[in-house]
Amino acid sequence: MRKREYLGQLELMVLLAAIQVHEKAYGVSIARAIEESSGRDVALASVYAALERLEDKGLITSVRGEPTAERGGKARTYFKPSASGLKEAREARATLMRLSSGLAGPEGQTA
Amino acid sequence: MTRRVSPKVGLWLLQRLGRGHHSESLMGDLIEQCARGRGRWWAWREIVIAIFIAQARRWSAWAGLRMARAFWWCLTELAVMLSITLIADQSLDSHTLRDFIAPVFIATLMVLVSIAVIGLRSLIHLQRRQRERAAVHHLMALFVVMTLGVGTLTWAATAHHGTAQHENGRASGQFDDRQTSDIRRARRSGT
Repeated sequence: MRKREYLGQLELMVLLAAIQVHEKAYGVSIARAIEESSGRDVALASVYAALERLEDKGLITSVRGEPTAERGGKARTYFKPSASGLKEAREARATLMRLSSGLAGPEGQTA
Repeated sequence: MTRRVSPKVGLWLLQRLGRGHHSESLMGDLIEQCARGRGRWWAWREIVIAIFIAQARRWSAWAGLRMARAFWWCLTELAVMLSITLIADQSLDSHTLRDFIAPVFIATLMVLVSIAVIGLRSLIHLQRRQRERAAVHHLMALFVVMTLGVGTLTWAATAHHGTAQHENGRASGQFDDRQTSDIRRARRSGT
């Protein structure tokens, strides 16, 4: 079995959110996608920290946008999952699907 | 939608204490969200979390670097000391060139020298990452290695010489307790 570095829960959620938002995914849009899906509040700083870790792992790439006056002259950074990021997300989903087969029964009971 | 002003002090603090790869983007997001009606409380909470994460990452990286540096330092010193001892021991125990070209001796020496070289290179790399004054550290490293080398050679020579004398004295029956204590004292002083 090959050695693999597992993604944390937030990292996986951020990666999936970046895939879901697809075009022009940046900090706020990724955080919003997670909040809408999970119903939980997520800090922007945590999202950026997770994005940095994903970038370090080569699962996500970033591109700087143009600075705007609305943002106080600060540029947006757009994030896009890399090919290995998409592969990692697919593998994580397959693993979770296999592992969660025990949850197939009625709520509160295992199958 | 109410247009709110972003907390300037908070942003200034974030700029100073919350440095990260994307801190500018985070600041831009905060300004943008405040302009779109998010409250100051939300902005302050984000700023505090961002500073906390940045500081935690900084300290953990620093501690990791120090640990790594200490590890490489010990490994390098050990490898250098062992290789010098090995050479000294071999040269004192055998006086023929043939013993020096023994495969086991050469292999052991090469392994030790490789460890020392890797250790030194890693130390230099870690120092560059920390942006420390590398020249001072290199001089310190050289001094320590030289001191260790000279000390080890002296110790090896004294130990060998003392043991030989002791064995000879015992064999001839001319060795008394006073001579033994003289040799021990000489070993301790390293002369």
